[in-house]
Order: sequence, then structure tokens, then C-alpha cells
Amino acid sequence: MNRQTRWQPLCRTAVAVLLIGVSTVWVAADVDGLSENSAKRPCSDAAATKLTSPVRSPGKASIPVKFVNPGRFKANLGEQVVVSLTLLATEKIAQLQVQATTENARIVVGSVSDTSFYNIPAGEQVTLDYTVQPQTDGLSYVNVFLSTHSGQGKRMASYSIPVEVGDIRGAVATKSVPDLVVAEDGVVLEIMRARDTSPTPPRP
Amino acid sequence: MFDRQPVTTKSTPRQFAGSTCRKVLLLTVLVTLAACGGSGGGDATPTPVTDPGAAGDTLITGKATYDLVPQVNFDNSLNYNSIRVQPIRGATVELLNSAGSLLERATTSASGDYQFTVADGANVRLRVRAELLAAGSPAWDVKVINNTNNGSLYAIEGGEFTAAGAAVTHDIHAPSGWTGSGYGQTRAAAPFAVLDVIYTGMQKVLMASPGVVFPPLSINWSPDNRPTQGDEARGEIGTSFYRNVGDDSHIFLLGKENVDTDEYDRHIVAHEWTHYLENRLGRSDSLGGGHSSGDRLDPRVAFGEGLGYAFAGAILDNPNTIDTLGPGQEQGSNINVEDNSILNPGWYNEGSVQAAIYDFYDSAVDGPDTVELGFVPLFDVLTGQFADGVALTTIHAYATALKLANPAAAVAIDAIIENQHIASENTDAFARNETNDADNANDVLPIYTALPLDGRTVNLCSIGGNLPPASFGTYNKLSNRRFLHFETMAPGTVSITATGPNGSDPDLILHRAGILQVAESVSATETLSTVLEAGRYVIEIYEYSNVTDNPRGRTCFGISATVNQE
Repeated sequence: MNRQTRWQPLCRTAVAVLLIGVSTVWVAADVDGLSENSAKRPCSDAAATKLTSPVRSPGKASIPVKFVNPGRFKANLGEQVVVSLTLLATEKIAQLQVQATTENARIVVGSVSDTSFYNIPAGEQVTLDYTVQPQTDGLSYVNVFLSTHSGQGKRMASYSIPVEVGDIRGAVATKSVPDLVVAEDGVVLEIMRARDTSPTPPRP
Repeated sequence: MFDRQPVTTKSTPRQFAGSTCRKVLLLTVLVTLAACGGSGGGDATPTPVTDPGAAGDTLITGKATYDLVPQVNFDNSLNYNSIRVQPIRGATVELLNSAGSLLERATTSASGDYQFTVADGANVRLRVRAELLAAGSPAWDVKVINNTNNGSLYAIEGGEFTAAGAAVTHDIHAPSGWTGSGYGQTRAAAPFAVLDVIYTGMQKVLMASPGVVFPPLSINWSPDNRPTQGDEARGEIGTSFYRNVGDDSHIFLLGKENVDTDEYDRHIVAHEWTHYLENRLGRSDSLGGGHSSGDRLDPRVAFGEGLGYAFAGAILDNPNTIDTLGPGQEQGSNINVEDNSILNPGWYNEGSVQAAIYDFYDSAVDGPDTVELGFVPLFDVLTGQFADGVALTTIHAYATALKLANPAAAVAIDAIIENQHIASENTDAFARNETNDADNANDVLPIYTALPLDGRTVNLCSIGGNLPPASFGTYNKLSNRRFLHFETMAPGTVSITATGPNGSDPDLILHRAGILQVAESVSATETLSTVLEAGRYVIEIYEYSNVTDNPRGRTCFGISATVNQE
């Protein structure tokens, strides 16, 4: 079996908040090549031998909130774009706090950047719209931080929602990266400057 | 904790010498690690040098260190005002000449010390690679690489100096890069902070298995790694996680400043490393997928996640997992595996699993916890009876194997398990007598249904959706996938058929200590047929849509099987 396609990692995706509705929809983003694939293997009657299958851990524990497919957003430089995020509570949540920051963009005045919701029943959906204005070509991000408060304390989760402006491949290609060095054993090294002491007098 | 250092054996002047003595050196270090009770390091200073070697040689000694940014318990943040200098332990250190050519290579000691001998007057510089490397038995190969810069291996390099006289001391340090209000400089310490958690974990394992050969592991960390699903080469890794394909094991860690960084979240690193341990030295049947506290999960996922947090607490001797994030790394989450008050407790809850396993391990007496097994028995079972068992990798299988291996502790183990609403007495790896149905009387128990091999039909339902207790989510949640077991008395061809209503799509997976075969045609009838040796097997069945984002919901199947023993 191709578990890489059938046994998906959780695609924790983006967000936003404001409205309320009931939904049973849980959509995982299909952007990393590891999510569900409708192609299925044919049944096989080959002799039973153990299959080696990819394994992917779910990652860090999250909060009882699922992101309903936020996808990736596109915008033109300087234009405003609405980044709409929807959250689904999988358990009753006493308090959900949503904070947002941006990178390479600004949140337009009037758009909520820090808000809380209370007593969200399990199965309910919360949607929030952020109006942002990218300020550079390439990738901008809306970073969302979710906090839930319950009897088990405060739990948080983070998500970065990308907003693509222009040709992001070109923007990424021009991004400066540290120089690489090929060591004598062929290993490619990224050298970082250390802080070292000057030679000291010989020990007695 | 990492700073509870053992006494380090004083090194002879040659103990950490360069490549010609490397095998002896590694063995010496390993024996030290294995004998040190699991928390190496030490702040021993280098042995004073009185014999630098041949006349005309200079002995260079020094210490490699990095900045550790500690966590703050009360608000789950990082505390840049209390940065501590820690030794870089067990890493590859190289001496280069002024042209950058390698002169000698060695490994730092448990206290970060190294030494080289060069010709008097040589102009040299030091380089420390973010790797742990040892060959033979035991062996390991751990690298911290940059997934956003062509998978390059991180290294720090110092300035050039002249090795003059009989001996010189020259230290090298990886700074955090924090400049007061942000990372204004290169975050050189981060890869070494990550590496140190692995070093600590390896020492725990070496106590249990002194000759262990750790499969190679690459840890992908980048200051661009952010919680976005997308292009990993751009840092869009989604979250910190472990992935294995074939023999290629990787951990990915978040590193994006002001969003989510994990290099100093030591429990997160140890948690992901535990997934590697479980997968490569033991066995994991986990599915991946999202999870959170209170979720009623597929029991294989609950076990893997709970084990990860429990082992992280054990490896670091600290039950409190802090996951920092946010602007300035000033916020975060906290999971204390000593907390026995679990929302929706049971065999399907990662919180119950982590609380139970940590209680098996630790010395604290709390609630029903009166046992202290320590790390070695837990690891031995994980990589022994549990990994080799036919039952799926769940808390029932683990607790059963643990009790068999530690009969004197069986009553205490049962008490801990019972406290988490998990069947203990008179149960087994197949969860016989489990009564916790997660408030769903129809579609949860029994965890394994007996499948007769005489053609009779048994009925099971797969559920999917988000309205507990009728359903608990999709993909990896409780009862999305149901289990059956059967036993063949002689070799033969076993044929299994599952039939559902029109529009359904049952799929079958055959397990025996791992996946043997998959049948996943697009049809309301699924058949799996294969030749099997005598023995016990597990069948997993699910409605395909219930493991996708568009669940069909409760879907019931008739399952039958026959065996043809020729």
C-alpha cells in the first residue's frame, strides 16, 4: 500500500474567526503531497510479506480545534486581501483566544487581531476574517495563535497562513542563504560563526 | 534533567586525541555514557596537561559550549535573561589548518572537552559539527541539518589562532544570537541545543542496551521552519514531527522566531525522538494525523503520542512539557504527564497513556502510583515483547507485556491502568474484558472482534464525523477503523470479504506485527486473499470516506472469512 498517500499526516492548516455555524466538515489541506489521494491500490493476492510503510508522527499535541481548509491566499502588492479562517471545535471549549500577527504585511485597521470566544459547543464552527495588505513581493504571512483554557490549563497552537504576492518562486530564489562549504569527507556544511577565545597562555 | 551531571572520568591526555585514536576514543566515551546512569555531561575540566607529546608539538585543549535558553514554568515562555552555557557533548570537532584543510578530527567529551596535537607554531582553527557519530557497537549517526539550505549540516567555526608552545587552551562557543529584543545574529546554538537532547536520550537507551545500533537520524531545523503546510525546502513544515520512509528517518522542528520555535523546547525534541525510537528500535502501528488532549483516538495513535510525552519526561527527568511559541517566544502550552486528571480518560486517550507510562517510570508516589520501574524495563518491553507481539501497538498490549516482564509490579501496574479507566486485571494484549466504550455503546467495543474462518458473517461499523459520542472525528479517531482477529492452525490460503451498503467503500488491512497486506479497491465489496502461516492475525477494516475529510458516517459491513488448507 502506498501509505504515503493513504495514511496522511495531519494537515494542520490556517485559520480565522468570526461567525458561527454548525458543520461536520473537517478539511485537511492538500498542499504537502502527503494528504489523501483518491487513487487506490488494486487488491492483490500476492503472498503475505511485510510491507515497509512510511511513518509520520502527528507532531505536537494541538488543541481541540480543527482548521477548516484555509488554503493559501494570493494578492497583488499593495492590495488588500481578506484572509478568512474557519475553526471547528471538536470539544466544548470554555474560552478560545485568537491572536494574529503578520509578516511582510499589515493588518488593516478595523480587522480584529486579538479576540476571544466563549463556551463554544463541540461541533460548532467559528470563522474570522482578517483584512491584510502585503507590503513586499513574495510570501507574506498571517500568524495565528490560538489559546484554549480549560480544566487542564492553557493550551496553544500556532499557524502561519501564507499570502502569495507575485512570483513567489522568484522571490524565494533571490532570498539570501548562508554560504555552504563542502568538507573533505563530502559533507556539505553550513558554517556559523562561533565565539572563541584567543589563544591563552599555556597551562602550567 | 540534563544538568544533573554524572561524575566524568578524568581523561588521559590522549583520550580525546584525533582521528588515529578515534575508535578507542568513541568506545571510551560510550562506556562512560553507559556507566554514568543516564545523564552524561559533567563540568569536569580538562585534565591538566603535562606531556603534550613529541618535542615540537603543541597540545591544544579546550571546551565546546552552546547557549541554552531555558524555559519559564509559570508562563511557558523562553527566558533570554537566564541563558546558560552548556557543553556540546559527543559532537564531532575538527582542527583545520589556515587553508581550511582537515588536520585532525575528534569527538567532544561528556563535558564538551577536546584536545589535539599539532606542530608548534601551526596556524589553525576549530570547527564543531552538529552531529553525533560513532561506529561499531554501539553506534549512532545523528545530524542536525538545514532543510531550507539544501540539507546542509550545521557547524560552527572559530577564528584562526597560532598553536604555540607546549600547550594552549582554546574554547569555542555557539551563541544563541539573541540581541535583546530578537535574534539579531545567527542562531548558532540552536542545532547544538537540539543535539544535546538526543545525546541525553541516547544515554538512557544505552543503559538498557549498551550495544545498541541507532539507525541514522537527520534532524531538520531551520530558522525558517514555520507552522504552514507546504514546501519543506521553504520551511513550510506544518509542525514539529517525525517521519520515516524506508530506512530514512527524519525529525523536523519548528524554528520561526516570533511564531513557533522548538529548539529549546527540549520535551518536544525528546517527544519526536521517542517516535523515532518506537519506530526504528521497536514498532509503531500509529497512523499519524491530528490529535489533542481529550481526543478519543485510534488506540495506536493514543499509545504513540502518550508514549512520546511519557518518555520525554523520563529522558529529561522532568514531567512538565513546555511548548513555547508566539511573539518573542513569550507564550506557550504546558502538559504535565504527572497530571492524572484526564478529560475523557481511557485506552483511546493520549493523556491517559502518558500519565500511566510516566507513573510506571517515576519514583513519585501519587494517587494509585506506587511503582518505580525506571527507564530500562520500559524500553526493554517497547523493543522486545511489545514490538514482536501480534496485537496492535496499544496501551493494552504494552501494559500486558510490561506485566509479563515485571510480574512483581503487576498489581501496581494494574492500579495505575485502572485509574485511567482502562481494563487491567484479566485482560490481555487484545483488550479482553475492556469495558470503557467512550460512551458509545454500539461502535467501540469489543476492540477486537473474533473472525471465524468458516464463512460465517460478523458485523462491524466504521464511524466518522465530529459529534461525540456518535463519532469522534475522522482519519485517526476512535472507531474510524475497527479490528478483528483470527487464528489459523495450519498454513493455508485465507480469504476475507467485507461487504457494505451501496455507495460504501470498505478497505481491509492485514496485520501481524506490522502490515502484511492491504486491500483497498473502490467498491462496496472488498476481498483480501493471501497465503498465511499458522498463527494469529489482525484485520483492520474501515469505511474509506471515514478516514478522509468527507466522512460518510456510520457504515456497517458484513465480514466473513474462509481458509483453504491444502
